Amino acid sequence: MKRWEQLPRKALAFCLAVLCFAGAAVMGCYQYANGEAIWSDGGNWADSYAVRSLERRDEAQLQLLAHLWVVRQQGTAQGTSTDGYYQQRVGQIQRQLSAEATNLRWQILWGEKQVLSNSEEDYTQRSLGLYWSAGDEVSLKLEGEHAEIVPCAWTQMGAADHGVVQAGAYNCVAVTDPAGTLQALVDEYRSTGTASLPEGVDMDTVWLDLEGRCTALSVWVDGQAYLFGPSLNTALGLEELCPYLYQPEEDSWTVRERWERMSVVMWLDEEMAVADSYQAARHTLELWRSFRGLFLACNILLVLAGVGCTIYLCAAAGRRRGVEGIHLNPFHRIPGEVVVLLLLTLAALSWVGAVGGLSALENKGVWPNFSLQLILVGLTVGGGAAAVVGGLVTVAVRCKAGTLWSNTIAARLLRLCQRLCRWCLQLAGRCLRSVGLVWKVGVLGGGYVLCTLFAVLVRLPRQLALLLWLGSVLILGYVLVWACQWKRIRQGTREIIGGRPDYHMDTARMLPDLKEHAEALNNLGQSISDAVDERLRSEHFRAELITNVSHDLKTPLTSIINYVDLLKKEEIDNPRAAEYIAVLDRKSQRLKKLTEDLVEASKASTGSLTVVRERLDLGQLLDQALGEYEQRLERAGLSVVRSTPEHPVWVMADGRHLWRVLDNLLSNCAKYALGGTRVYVDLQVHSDCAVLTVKNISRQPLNMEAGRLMERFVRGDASRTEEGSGLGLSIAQSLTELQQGHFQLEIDGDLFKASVTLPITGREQEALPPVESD
Amino acid sequence: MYKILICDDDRDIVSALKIYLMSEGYDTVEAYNGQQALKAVGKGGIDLVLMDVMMPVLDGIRATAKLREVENLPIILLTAKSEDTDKVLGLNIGADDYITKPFNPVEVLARVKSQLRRYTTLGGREQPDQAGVVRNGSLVMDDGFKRVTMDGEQVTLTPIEYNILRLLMENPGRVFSTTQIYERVWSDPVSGSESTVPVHIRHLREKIEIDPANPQYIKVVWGLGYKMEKM
Repeated sequence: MKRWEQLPRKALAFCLAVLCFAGAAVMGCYQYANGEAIWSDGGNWADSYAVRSLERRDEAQLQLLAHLWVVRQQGTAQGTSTDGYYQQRVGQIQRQLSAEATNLRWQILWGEKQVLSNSEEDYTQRSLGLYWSAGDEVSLKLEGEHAEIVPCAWTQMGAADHGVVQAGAYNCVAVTDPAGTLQALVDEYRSTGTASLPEGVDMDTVWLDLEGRCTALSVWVDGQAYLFGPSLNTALGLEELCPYLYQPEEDSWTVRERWERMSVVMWLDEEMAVADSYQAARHTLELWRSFRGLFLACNILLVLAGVGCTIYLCAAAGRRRGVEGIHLNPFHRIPGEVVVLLLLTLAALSWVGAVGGLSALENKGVWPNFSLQLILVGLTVGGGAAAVVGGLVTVAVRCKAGTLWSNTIAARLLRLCQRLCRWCLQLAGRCLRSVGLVWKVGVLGGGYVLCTLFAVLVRLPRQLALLLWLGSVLILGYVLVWACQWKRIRQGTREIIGGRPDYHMDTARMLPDLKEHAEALNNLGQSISDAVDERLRSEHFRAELITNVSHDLKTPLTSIINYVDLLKKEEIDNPRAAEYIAVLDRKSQRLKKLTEDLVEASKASTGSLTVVRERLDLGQLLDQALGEYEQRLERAGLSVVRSTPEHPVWVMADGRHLWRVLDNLLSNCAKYALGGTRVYVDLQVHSDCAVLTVKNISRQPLNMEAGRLMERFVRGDASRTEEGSGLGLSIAQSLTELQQGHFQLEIDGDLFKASVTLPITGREQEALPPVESD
Repeated sequence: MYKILICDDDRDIVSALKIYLMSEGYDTVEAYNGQQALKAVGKGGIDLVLMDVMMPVLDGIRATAKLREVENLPIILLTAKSEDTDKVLGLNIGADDYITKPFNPVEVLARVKSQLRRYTTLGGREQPDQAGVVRNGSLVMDDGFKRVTMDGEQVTLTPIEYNILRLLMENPGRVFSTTQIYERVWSDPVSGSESTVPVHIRHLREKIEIDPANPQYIKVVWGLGYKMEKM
């Protein structure tokens, strides 16, 4: 298992895939080439490509043999003997291809004549592997002495068609100098027999009469003239003509080279007695034929295995043992185009090879070696398969890693272009932004104004004027967008001012200048919101602290008050002790009042009191309050002067809180007003508010601003010896403001004036009955 | 001889209260947390409980709730908390009265007395009202004898005070403005607003209420008038 894991599986799979495809191709080619022999039941095995290619191999030897034969013949004709090499080679080939050494039967023909063979059978009767090879034209040049000793004969003229020369009307003349003889004949003809040319014969066609001293002679003058001269068949054993060539420019005759086609005829001995390559090929073919189904299945299996390996490679591509994610090896990092180019080249090369091989198979017998051909096909198909599989794998990896497109030169160029464009745009944007808004508007607007002026003055052609109009439409659009966004900013500003500091404007698609502004406003709102939150938190914390501390103070205070009270009841003879107890009593009562006021002040100032605003009569409330205070004010030697309207004054307020306000004001009067003076209490009704004013003369000089008096723990007298906590006015102010009223203090010398302003309710509500309340 | 349970985690307060209550002739039992209070009540013989709210082990509110499951005796809560919601919670849970610290000993005694009277003499047997007798809580007005009693004690009232009280008692819960009270009591149309009625009502409160600053019967509806709380 471990060894399996350590194997380079992908490399093996790749090799296997390539081998499978190559093997399939080789097998396929073999079957295709020998298709008729293997797959057709009536097919002749000798007609198969395997056998043909063997015959082709031997044919090359036979061609050589034929050539050697011609050389020997020429040598014989010229009187020179061929050298030992030729003799040796001929003997060797004849031995190799003797009837005893091979199943091949062959004959070499000179024209129709058999000149060499290993079998005397009539090849026309043989069909098994009969193979006719029309070889090169073999020429034998006859000249010089060799020609002289040959008895010449005039042979049949090719002009028999002309119908003049009778059949058999030829003669053989022995000449020693055929060219000279012919020349003399022509000269003689030209000097004497110029007349009486038969019909249908060319001007330059010469006819020599049998009764004449010359035998028949035919000359075609067609740039060249041909003379059918003396026959050589006696000497050479051939019945062919030996033409003489007339050169009109030189006015001379040359003996033309004799030529003839050499043919090789081959067939196979039916007995196949000799154990040679033919027999082997036959056995192989018979084997294929008997297992043809299996071989086909093998072929299909190979293809499937190759495809399977390819699929595995594609699936496993990019994965690595122990490595997360997609791993790209250097090949997968090469830009796509280069890979495509490489693979295309490889594929094209193998395609050429494969097509070449296949077309060779089509034209049976072009290649002399079938095995070599099969190997070439295997190699080329293997190369092509490697290219295709490699291409698929790299495409798969690139798809997985998402670099199929990005890792190409084109994509890189595109990215570069994009970056360049973005950079340019940013630069432009920065330039535009660095220019001030006023300058921008001025330059653009001025340009537009100048353009229109120009248009008016010059009377622009219609197209240009239309362009100008389009420009104004664009400007209008821009201004509209600007206005809409400006409206949004104004709305947002209003929201922030109107108590929603956490309001956030959407600046996503704003124009740069406005965006800057809007973001600044957003930040402002945020900081306001933060500050308010912070302040509220600290206020609440303080209120809670004060409340808790007060509660903790109350318990010991209870004991103090109670025991002072008990002390008072004791019989104490010492008058000073009684005096001290009285001080303790006073101070403990004051402490009690202080703690209560402290809690109330902190609650009122932080707004943690519940306020239930109801419709109530301010005049009535004033009456009730004065009724409560009648005795105390009287005791302080103060007389109250009131002026209130006779009709009820309806306001929206929380009765208990408003009572506390009046309670504090009147209690202040009782505490701090100069005895024997008058306290003025006025209630005035204005158009939308009622103002309650309490005026009195302070006993102590008030050497401070009115506002200071409303601060907590501040009292008119600096000594703080008097009763009171110094919280009364602060509480009154906070409570008034909780009821949406307005609390104001004025100090004019010793005149102390406090006014409470509350909004009055509408006239339509006056008819309503007083609200029931506990 | 009534036995009163005093429950507070502050021993000084407990002993002070004990002194006051004993001086008035009550018998007392002390407890210092809710658990002890429950135990003491379980022993029996307790007529009234004075209970602090914030105590260790078991606080006053929960102790009150547990007591209420078995006992019907009056419970007065003492606490440093003075929020309205705390009061409402205490009363809803079953307390009969509520005194905020620091308290006035006289007020405590008055409330104890009032609760005891209600529990022992009035609580169980409701006397059938004679004609002309108006009752609201501990406040009884006998119109025939022109007599008013509060917790059984006679209250001396001036004729105007008596008339104002009768108007309010005959219409418990209804709010009367100063003008309405003036017109009904004096039988004169009022000329201009004055503090005559408020002054009389203040005097009336001082005579009837235990703590006139926090009246239980004659309540001020600020800005609208006065009303008799329906007990």
